[in-house]
Amino acid sequence: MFQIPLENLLVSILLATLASAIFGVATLLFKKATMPVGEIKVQEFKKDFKGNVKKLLNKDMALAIILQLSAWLIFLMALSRYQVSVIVPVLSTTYIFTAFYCNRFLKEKLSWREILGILIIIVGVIILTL
Amino acid sequence: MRLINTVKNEAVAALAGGLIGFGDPLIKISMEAAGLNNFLFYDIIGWFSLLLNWHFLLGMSLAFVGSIVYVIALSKGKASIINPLSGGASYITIVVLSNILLGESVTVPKTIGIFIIILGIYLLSHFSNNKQLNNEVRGEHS
Repeated sequence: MFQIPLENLLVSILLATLASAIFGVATLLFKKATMPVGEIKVQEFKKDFKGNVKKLLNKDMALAIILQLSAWLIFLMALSRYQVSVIVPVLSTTYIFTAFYCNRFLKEKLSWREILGILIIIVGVIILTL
Repeated sequence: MRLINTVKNEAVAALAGGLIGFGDPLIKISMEAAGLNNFLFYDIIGWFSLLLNWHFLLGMSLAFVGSIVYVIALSKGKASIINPLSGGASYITIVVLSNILLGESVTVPKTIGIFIIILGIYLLSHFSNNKQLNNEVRGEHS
């Protein structure tokens, strides 16, 4: 066993929270990017495949991919500083961030049952890494 | 691919998460095979040795297919539900696959955690108010 300094814990938790906040923005932008196409149904999507793919690859999608990759790198930096069992549960705050952003900017309303389901998944992730 | 239109959207999201979860254990194997114990993302020689490893390529391509399925699921449902669904489902694949391929033991907390995640996924897909394709079947509840 090797000792990990305590300030690494704080820095890595901060980095992981930052990463999950950025992951939330990325999910919001992914959702926004799919909006010009509407609901993707494979048969209808195939009919005008090139046009639909062009519609999908818009500015939002590009920004979302860049944010996703940068959040992943920040997450890896957090992971290299401290134990997985602390960092992965912190990462599951992504779901809360996503729900917050989507409620704010896309007017998605969640029922209390759906909030309960999200919280149960977060509890499952925390227990998984114990 | 025709199956995606008939299955409930939450199941598509869980499938996407399951596919994305294939990435991490396979990348871990490729890193062990390349002898990268302390990988840094600006290590160019490390990246080349990873790109020549079929485990790495398989993991990345499965995760890529998963991301496409994820975008399909995202276009149909609420983002705030699809994200936890696929995220939770990816942990299930990670635990099972890292037991099979890497020999990491499935401990009691992992089992309990997986069951709680499955319960959460079930509740989310059961209670979400998304438009369903077969309205006549699911018209009774919700």
